[in-house]
Formats: sequence, C-alpha cells, structure tokens
Amino acid sequence: MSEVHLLGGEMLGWSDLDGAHGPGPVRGPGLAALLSVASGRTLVVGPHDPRLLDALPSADLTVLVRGLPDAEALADRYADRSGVRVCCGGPEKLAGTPPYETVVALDGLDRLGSVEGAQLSWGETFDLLVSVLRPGGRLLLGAENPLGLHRLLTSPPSADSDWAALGEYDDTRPAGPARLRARLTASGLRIGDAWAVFPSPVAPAALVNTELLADPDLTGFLQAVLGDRAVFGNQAVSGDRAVLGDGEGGTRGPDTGRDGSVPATPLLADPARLAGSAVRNGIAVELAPAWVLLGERLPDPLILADQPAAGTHPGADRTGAVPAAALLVRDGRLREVGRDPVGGWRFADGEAVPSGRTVEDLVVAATLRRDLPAVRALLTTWQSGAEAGMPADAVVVTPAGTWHGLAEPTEPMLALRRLASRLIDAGLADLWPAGELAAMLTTMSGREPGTSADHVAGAAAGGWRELLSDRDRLARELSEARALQDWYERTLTERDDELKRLRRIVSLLHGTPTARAGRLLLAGARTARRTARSAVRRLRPTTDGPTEGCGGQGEGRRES
Amino acid sequence: MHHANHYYGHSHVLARYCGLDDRDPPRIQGYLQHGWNIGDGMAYDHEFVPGVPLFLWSERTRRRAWSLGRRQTYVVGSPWAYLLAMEADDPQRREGTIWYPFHGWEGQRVVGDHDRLVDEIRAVEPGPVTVCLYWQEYRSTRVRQHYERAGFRVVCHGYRGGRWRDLDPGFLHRQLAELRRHRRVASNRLCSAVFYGILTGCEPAVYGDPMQLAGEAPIWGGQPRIRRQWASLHGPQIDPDGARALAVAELGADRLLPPAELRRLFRWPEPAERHRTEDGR
Repeated sequence: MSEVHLLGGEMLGWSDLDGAHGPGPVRGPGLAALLSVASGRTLVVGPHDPRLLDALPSADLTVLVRGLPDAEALADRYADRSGVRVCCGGPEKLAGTPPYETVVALDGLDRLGSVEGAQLSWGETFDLLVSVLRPGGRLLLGAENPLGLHRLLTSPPSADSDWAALGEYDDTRPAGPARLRARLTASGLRIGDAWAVFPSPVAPAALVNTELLADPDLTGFLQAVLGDRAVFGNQAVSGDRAVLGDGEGGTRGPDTGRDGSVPATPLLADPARLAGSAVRNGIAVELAPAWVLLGERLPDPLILADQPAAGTHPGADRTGAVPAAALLVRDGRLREVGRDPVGGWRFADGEAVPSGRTVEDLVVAATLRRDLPAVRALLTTWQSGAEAGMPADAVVVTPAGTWHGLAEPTEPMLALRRLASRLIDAGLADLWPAGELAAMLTTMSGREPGTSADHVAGAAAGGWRELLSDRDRLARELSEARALQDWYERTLTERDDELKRLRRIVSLLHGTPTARAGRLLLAGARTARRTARSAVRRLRPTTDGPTEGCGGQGEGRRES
Repeated sequence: MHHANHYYGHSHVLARYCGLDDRDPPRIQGYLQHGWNIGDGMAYDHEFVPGVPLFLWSERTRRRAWSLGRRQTYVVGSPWAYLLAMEADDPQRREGTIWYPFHGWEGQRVVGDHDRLVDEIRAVEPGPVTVCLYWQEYRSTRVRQHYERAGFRVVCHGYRGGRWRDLDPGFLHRQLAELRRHRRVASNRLCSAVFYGILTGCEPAVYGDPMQLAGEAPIWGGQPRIRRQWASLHGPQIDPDGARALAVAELGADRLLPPAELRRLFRWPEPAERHRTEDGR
C-alpha cells in the first residue's frame, strides 16, 4: 500500500465513501464526463467515487479526504501510480500549498471538514480552494440546493456527518444559482458553464446546463427527461449505499439509474411530477437539487502586467475539452446534448432535440378546456402511431406536428393506464366519469379496453400528495355511493309501502260479499268465454289464437 | 445516574456550583464525561444505555461523539473548570514541578521502567519535583520507592471512587492545592492532569517513556494519534499561550453553563435557600 499523507485532523474510524454515514460519494457517468475539463496538476477534495478519480489525469493528482479508511483504500487503489498523492485531514491544511491547475469539488464543500479540525464556513472553504487555484486554472464546484426538489419533498434524516452542519443557515453560503455565480465572479472566477443536477446531488442522472434548462421551447423534452422514472425512481439518496469497488466487479454501483430502490422515507409528493411542474413554470434551475459550476480563475492583473504575452499563462495550453450542455444517464449509458451551430440543440449522435410539449400536457390542456374532440384526436393519433407504447409524458409533439418518443416502448395498455393514473394524481379525476378513467381513455383512443385496465388506476401514486388526492377522491366516491345507496333505500321503501297498501286493499276486497259475487260472476264469464273460443277454434282451425295486440289485455284479464 | 458521574468528586463540585448540598449530590440525569478523551467522551468499557444524555467537556468531543452516532450530546465543560471558576486564585509562591507518571486504573497494570523515567525527570526538571501517584501505585512501596529514592516528594490525590464506594469529594480540591504550589506540570502522556495544570497556570511538559498498560489496545488511534494531533503539547518546553488555548478548549472552560442552566440540564432541584426566599416574598 502506498503512503497516505496525514495532514492532521484525519478521522480514524470514518468513511464517506462506504455510505455508512451518509449518501456515499458523488458518482455516476454524468459527473465523470464533466471531468474532461481537468488538466495539469489537479486537486480533488471531498468524497468522489474512485471511478470518477480514474477519469482524471494521474500525472500530478492530489486527493484529499477526511476519513483515514477512505484515504487508505484510495492509496491502495493508486499504489502503482506514482503521480497520485492521497492526503487525509481537514481542508484548512491545504492553505499555502503550491497552486493547482484544476480543483475538483463536485461534492461541494460540506463534507470536507473533520471533527478534529477547524469548522470552516462555506465562504472560508471556498476562499481556501480559490487560493490554491492557479490563475487560469479551473474549478469544478458542486453546490447542493437547500430548497432543491430532493429536499422539498422529504426531510433528510439526521446524519452522523451533521455534527455542526449549518446548511442554509450559513450566511456565507450563496443562496440560489444567481448569487452562487455572483460569488464566483466576485472571487475572480469567470463562469465557464453551470449545470443543474437531478435528481440527487450525489448520484445525478441528469446534468443540464442552465441555458438549456431555461429554454421554453424544450419544455416537453425536459419534462420527459426529468420526469423519467429511471431518473426519479432512483431517489433513494439517504438509503442507498455506495460501493468502493473496482468499478468492474460484480457489485453494481448505484450510478446506473436502474436502481429502482424504494426511498428510505416517504416522499411528500411525486418528485417527477414536481420536476415537470418546475420545468413548465420555468423554475427548474432554481429548484434543482444541486448545481455544478465550472469557474476559471482569471489571470491576476499583476501577473498579466509581468507577462504581456497572454498565451504564456499556465492555462493557455490546456487540453481540457468543453463539456456538453446536457449529460443524461439512462440505463447506465450516457447521452450528451450540445448546442447546434445553426440553432437549437442536438444529441451527440446528430439527432435533433425536439421542441414542443408532451402529449400528456396537451391532453391535460384539452381536458381542462373540456375539448373532448381534441382529447380524442390526441389519444387516437398517439395510440395509432409508433409511440403507442411510450408514456404520454415521454412523447413530444413539435409545433410542426411531428411526434418524438423519448422512452423505450412498452405495452400500449400500460401507457394508457399510466396516463390515467397521472391524470388522477394531477387532481383531474373529477373531470371524467368516476372510477373507469383508463377504460374511458382506451375507448377514446379507439382501442378495445383490456379486462384489467381499471384495476391499477392510481397505482402510480408517488408520494403523500398523490395519496391524499387519491384518498379525497375515494372518500368522495364513497360518500356518493352511500348517498346513492340511501336514495335506493328510500325509493325501495316507498315502493314497498305502496305495494303493502295495494295488497291490503286487495285483501280487503277479497273477503266482501260483493267480491265473492264478483268472483263467481267472473269465473262464470271465463268459463263461457273459454267454451266459446274452443268452439270457434274447432269451426275455424286456420285461425291461430287471438289477434296481435289483444293478447296482453287478454292475459291481464285472465290473471285478474 | 451513572456511578462514574461521582468519580473524583465531580458531581460534588457541580452540586456546589449549582448551590446544592455537595455532601450528597443529586443524581445527574445523564452520563458525565469524567476524563479527557480522544473518542466520544465515554469510557470505552462502561455500560452505555442509548437515549441517556451525554454531558461532554468540549465541542470537539461533542462533534466526535456525534460522528460516532451519539445523539443527545451536550457540552457543559469539565468539573475542573467549574472548580477553578469557584476557587478564586490564591496566588502563592509556585516552585518546582508536579509530575504525573502514567498510571492504570483499578484492575490495570502499567508496564514500564520507573527508574529510567526518574532519570529523564532529573535531566529535564530544574527545581524540586513532586511525583503524584495513583492510589494503586502509591500503596505499592516498591513503586513509591523508585521516586522517593530519587529525592522526589511523593503524593497521592486520593481515591477516584467506584460504584458509589470510596467516593472522595476532596480529590479535585487536593489536586488544585498541589497544582497551585508548582510552576510546572508534567507527565509522560498527555492526560487530564496536564490540561488541569495548564488551566491552573502551570507550564506544561510531556516527555519520557509513555509506558504501556498490560494488554493495552490503542483505541481511537492511541498514543501515536495523540502525539500527532496535539504535537504542540509534547516536549519538555511548551509555548504556554498556545497550551492554554488548547486547555481552555479541551476542558470546555469557555463553555461553562450558569448554575440555573446546569440544574435544568441535569434535572436537579432548585436550591433550598431559594425556595425559602421565594416562599417568604
């Protein structure tokens, strides 16, 4: 094992990488792709998945962690790379070290300080990192949003690392993306780019730069991306366990986005729905769980004066690439989006990013307008096309009227059920006939309703809000059913009473001498009529019974 | 509530500070840290019931305890700091060094060469030396003689007490009286006594064979960690200002609670006099 450089303040029995005291290290292919900006002498501070470190140039790489077991594991991992130096201790020990070309702090500044050492504020730690950044050097900084989607919907449990966590009460921490940018600029950094991170600060499945995220033409695409279950199904930030593995072994890391693990605490609402709403309302940047900023330290004016040839400053020969505008991880694969020089946005493989709204948004809008012909037209077009098996919230209709599916297709019936359950979750159930929305949508789309289409309606409830909305709907349906039952009871009772009254009259009439005489008379009359009929039949055998239209009366008379 | 709360007369000192009868201190509703500690403030071999509040000496210990999964942790400062706050300094002529050889506690045995330690003390200390032994070593004529033969004065502060027996409320008072007589405090291991001495105004020193407990397992990094993390407190001559700042932090002398708050925290009653005064109004 190669040597760990003990800086002082190292924590002996503590690991941030094993996930036992928190959410584990920052990780995932999206963040790894951002590291392409790193070049030259590089410093990494805080818990980063070793697979991220693997992506960094190792000729002169310093890694600082606070837990001794983490430092020892990393030293062991990089034992054969002489350029990698693993340090252990608090960040305050970095002061005065020779400056770096690249400083990486993707986990932010909250998990750097040790219990033993100084408890630095966000601002003090940030200034410290800038102070070890060479003019022209690059800083890759993560910052968690205390008001991010991941925090709005759940309260993070008290963690062992919160021994003095100030969080949003640290008044040196810039609040919100605008002030964060301003803070970097004020410290002499030029903002290279800024990405909003979803759905969790530590294991993002989508990094979208703020320009792309604020593009109103991409509302549908962004909703499809951020509302993807593969994105928000992997919300279990507090519960998942990172693996300090070799990245190639049998243990699958939690960065693949397929985890599907159940969140450790119940969420207040379906995060995918809130993300979609944030995009629709143009505040997705502000509500992102975290941001990653790329800052470039401007050359010191004094140094510039000394070196008039701007090309000679250390950053000029950088080979670091320009990272993508959006980095989307799906099923462990990374998809990148960049600016199209002729306008709009393109995937790395050349496919254009569709503008427009999702089918679901269009259906909801048409439903709210009570424009049933439009709803029917949308459902029919959707279910008769190639996107029939894709969720309506992952199909974008461009202004030109072309349809783009952004998900893997499944059974059309599943897609219809999902739409029904999302409409119910959105509180739109009362716009439709109660209790059979999936069947209703299926019929409207021109398909035959499946047998079990209604049995899973509402099953997709993602949080307390959806459960409450379900409960309210069910409570309403139950009270309506009870009212109906009361009405049936009342009506039945009325009819019963009426029947009893009539029976009483009949029975009364039954016993009177007049009735007896009447019965005798009637019996005689019936006998006479039967005799007459049989005589007529015998005489006219071709005549078949009484003429039509008189039978009912005849029957009635016969029974009375 | 825990018997260790009464070690060294700690609860007695705090009862007096709180205006209560220090001959029979009330039960502390929690577990009071009883010695300087590089872990979570608790003795590793003591039974600990989850949910019982921990009353710790310093912020650093509280952070460490939290990181080790402890909750309900409150910094109250050390009883020693309360004692100093109550016993106004009585400036008297300070002379020589009080030396605390590392000792074991009840049931522990120290492995080390006392004669070699005596030589080291002689080589460093310019003035008269008082050696303070733990009662186990003090009772051992053989150990005591190592130091007495060297011409050192040998003292003992008393029993620590254990399981509510042999409680010695005078322990810290005797220690304070001794420390105030000396110009220097020294030991072969950084320990509570050295921090106590620093806070009392002695110049500290930590040097010499640190010795070993029989079967000692380094917990939380043991001596190597202590020497690295508190490197500035090791050596025969130490910067007194830096040492004082560290002692204030480690003994929580900057975190003392007012009596009313401490009573509230320990769930101790109000002093009887106060009740009487309030009744009389």
